[in-house]
Amino acid sequence: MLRYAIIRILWLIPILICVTFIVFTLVDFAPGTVVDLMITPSMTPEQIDELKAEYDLDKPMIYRYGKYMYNLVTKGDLGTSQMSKEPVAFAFFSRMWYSVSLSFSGLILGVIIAIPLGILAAKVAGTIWDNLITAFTLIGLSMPGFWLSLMLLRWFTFKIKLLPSGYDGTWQCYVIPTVAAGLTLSSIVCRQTRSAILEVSKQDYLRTARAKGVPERQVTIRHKLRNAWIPIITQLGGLVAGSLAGNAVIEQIFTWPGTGRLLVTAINQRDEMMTCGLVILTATMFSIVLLIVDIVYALVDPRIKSAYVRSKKRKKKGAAAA
Amino acid sequence: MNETLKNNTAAAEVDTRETVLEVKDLVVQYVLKEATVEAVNDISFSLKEGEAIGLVGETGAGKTTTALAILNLVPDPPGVIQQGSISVCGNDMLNLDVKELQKIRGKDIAMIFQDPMTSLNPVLVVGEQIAESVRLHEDVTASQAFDRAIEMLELVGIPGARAHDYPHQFSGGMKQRVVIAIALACNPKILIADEPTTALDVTIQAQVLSMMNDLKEKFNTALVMITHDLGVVAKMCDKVAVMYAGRIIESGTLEDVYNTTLHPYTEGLFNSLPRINNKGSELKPIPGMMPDPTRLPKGCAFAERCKYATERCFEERPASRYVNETHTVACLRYDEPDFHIEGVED
Repeated sequence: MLRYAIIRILWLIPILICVTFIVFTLVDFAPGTVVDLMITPSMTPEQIDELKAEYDLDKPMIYRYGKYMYNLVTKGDLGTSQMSKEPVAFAFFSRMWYSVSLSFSGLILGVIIAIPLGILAAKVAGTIWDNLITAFTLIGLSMPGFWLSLMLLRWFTFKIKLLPSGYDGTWQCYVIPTVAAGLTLSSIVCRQTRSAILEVSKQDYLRTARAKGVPERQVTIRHKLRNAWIPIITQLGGLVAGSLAGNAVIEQIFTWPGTGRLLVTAINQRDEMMTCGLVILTATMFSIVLLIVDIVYALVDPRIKSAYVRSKKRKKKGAAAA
Repeated sequence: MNETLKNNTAAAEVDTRETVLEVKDLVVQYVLKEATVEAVNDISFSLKEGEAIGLVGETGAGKTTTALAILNLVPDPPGVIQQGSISVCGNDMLNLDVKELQKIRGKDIAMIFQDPMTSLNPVLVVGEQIAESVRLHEDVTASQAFDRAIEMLELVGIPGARAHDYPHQFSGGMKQRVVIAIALACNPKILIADEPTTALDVTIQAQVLSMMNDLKEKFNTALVMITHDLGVVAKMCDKVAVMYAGRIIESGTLEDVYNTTLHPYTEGLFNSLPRINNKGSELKPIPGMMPDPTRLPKGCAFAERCKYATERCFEERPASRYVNETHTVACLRYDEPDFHIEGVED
């Protein structure tokens, strides 16, 4: 298990090399450079060239990339914002909490809606109620998060002036972005829950449980849901990782001081260092969440756990296969 | 003295034992959009405490449906119990509410399922699956229930320490023992065993059967043994009911059915068994197939495959008749006083 985790973490190295290279290339291809915003009309061409040289913009992209990677490997330096002169790591970690708290509130809301609704949909599968739930999830899925955000803002902020329009440090400011993020998430998870439960509903062990006299509620919770967790967790893991990596759109709409908006700003300013550093940190976080999901699998399903153990103790292979 | 009483043959016994299971005129159908499957058609039988009955028949004869109906667990939809009554220890199973049913299932009547590979929940340790039943039906704490689960495992020949293992860590035979331990956890008065050994190797089969026999004696459990294996019935049961297309076509004590076989289908079953003493002899399968349960013929369901069938057999459905106090047969040809089947070959 530990070996598996270490291998997974080591895999991050080639992934990050590719990711950073792609980021540098894309920023280089994008029209404009970081100095464009610093140039004032009074500057002479010489002064502009000097400014460009300061950021190595007179040298090819590969030189800047090599320099960045050299600093990263030798000093562990993720770079410094070329605009604000703020160290990237500091900028990221000081804003991370805002993103994480928003992600988790959206996630919790989504799960609270999705799992019971999914169970209900599976229970009434094929009836009008099932169709209603399907319709609800389809609306949630097809409605873009930004549009929902704007509609919520229009009603709850501008019409009835109940909730703030952006981050202001109160709990109220979490309401709209949480609903916007949670609704889409709950639609996806609800559909997955429904199909996962329907999938296990035909299993023989449920009949065994009923023949023991287990009440239907417990059949659902102890026997069905525990077996349906794996696909639900897979889906959730991807969604958590994705939303931790940045609800960039929602953060942008609500002027949220999170990492997602930081990244969008950095890209707009063609801030190579900041962009690249943020992407590295985000990618790492993404991978770690996925790794945690894999470990959770083993906790939920003993069969997966034994598969990990088996690869370590080869001699047990025969026994488990039988 | 008790020993000698028990060892008397079922027929000779003066029965003071209580009837624990009574199935009367049971009809179960699976109503689908395209067709109605007539799975169980008007069957009746009863069982006294400690008694064992074997329900024998081919796949699709309605044996498992009968068993599920007894627990009132026929999957609904599409299964519908159209008529009949089932009494388990005096409880009318078909008219109880769900709560009452849940009290009886697992406590008064328990079932061993056919396929041990899929009958256990893969994500719960086996001890927990046994303890669940104890916790539901008895006033015990979780840890007392688990201790009981360990005892049950040991009773079926699995070391108690393995209670913390998951089903995938057991072999097929051991899983079946776990399934049996679950069924026996609350000392049920009636045990339904649905082909408990079909999925197992022959050597394991013998072990599991003799273990079941011991436990049955020990707890004085009434047993409904569902099987297509006539040998298993001979070993385990006092009574036999042979089912065909959802009907009991012949029933009686072991001696009745095995020594004075009456129904042509039962004869065919015996004749289609491989003879171990006569390796040269060919297998004699019953020709043809069981009729489609969505379109049962109006006459005798077996007529098409029956070498004794007359025209009347295709027109008229035979009723069950008693030939002695315990032996019944459903065959029209016995209206003719001198009719007899060719007999089971040796």
